[in-house]
Amino acid sequence: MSWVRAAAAELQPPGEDEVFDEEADDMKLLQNDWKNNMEKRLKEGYADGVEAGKEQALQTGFNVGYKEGVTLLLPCGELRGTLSALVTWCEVHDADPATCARLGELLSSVTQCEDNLVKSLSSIHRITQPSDISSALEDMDLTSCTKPSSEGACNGGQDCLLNQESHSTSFSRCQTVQQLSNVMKHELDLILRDTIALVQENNMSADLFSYLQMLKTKYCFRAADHV
Amino acid sequence: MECADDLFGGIVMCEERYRGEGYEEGFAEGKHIGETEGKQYGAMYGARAGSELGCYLGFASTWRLLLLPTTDEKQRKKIKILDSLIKMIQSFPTEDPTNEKLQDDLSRVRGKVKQVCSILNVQPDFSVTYEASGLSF
Repeated sequence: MSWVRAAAAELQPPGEDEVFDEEADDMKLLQNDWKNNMEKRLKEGYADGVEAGKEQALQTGFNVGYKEGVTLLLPCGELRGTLSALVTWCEVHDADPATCARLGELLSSVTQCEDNLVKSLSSIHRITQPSDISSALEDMDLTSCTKPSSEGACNGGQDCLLNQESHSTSFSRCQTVQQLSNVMKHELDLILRDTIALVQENNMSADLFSYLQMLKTKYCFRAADHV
Repeated sequence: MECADDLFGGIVMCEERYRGEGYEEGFAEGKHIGETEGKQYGAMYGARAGSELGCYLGFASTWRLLLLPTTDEKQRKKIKILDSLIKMIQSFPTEDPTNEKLQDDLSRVRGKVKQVCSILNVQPDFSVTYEASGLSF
């Protein structure tokens, strides 16, 4: 509101103090009135502007976010579907109970990974209210994550790959979608590796083996290093 | 500052000017809020769509590979319906939330998945709960 103050100051010519008190009071009243009026206009304009700006950007933002969400979750979904298929196939074909149980565990790992991923994705995009900042800082654990730039905790995946942290911790440390994606790729890689081993042990199908390898190449972080 | 020079005209001008200035400031802020808000909702809806479609694709592709080619009529029917589901998902406008056919296509895919499960005689649990996202689907 420095605007208002500057304009009000200019309205008051030098020597104003010398006129009668009564007039000075009137003048002051007018100035205040004017000042309030201008502040009101400024606020009105601001409110209208916020509405218009919001409306214009909402759909664009939605589209961008939607694409991000689809791309990020598609791999998790595909692996979840794959494991669901294997679990149901085992049920239908009365497969070895130990294999069934192991596949069931892998399926819950993917579901867990997906849940954590969505949780973190939602908090990345959360609109920051002033009251949120302190709690957000605590959540993000910035005190222990001192790297200020985008080279954060998960960038490049190396830190997360080396750390023996629980999945949810790795996910919650991420501050960008790219970081989330890196942690996810690592998780999926581990799950896929176990799945491939199980499929091989049970001589399930050569085509299935190639399909899983393909998923690994398509979705996993530094897939080439692990082959 | 011209509003001080000509008070009468200036008052009207100033009112507009202040309003305009406020509007501009607000517009920039609103754009930022809208973009963030839109992105947030979009990401959640996109995540859900990606997860669901990916899941169907993985399910169908894997079952398809587990079924060996055969002359058995029943088995061939299973393969055929799986192939058609896979094709359907692959042609789905996954990345375009503005596509008008999105809802219809999704319903068709879901219907096909039900059909597939019934013909394979399996009841997979595809449900995921995104409690944390604060959105109920």
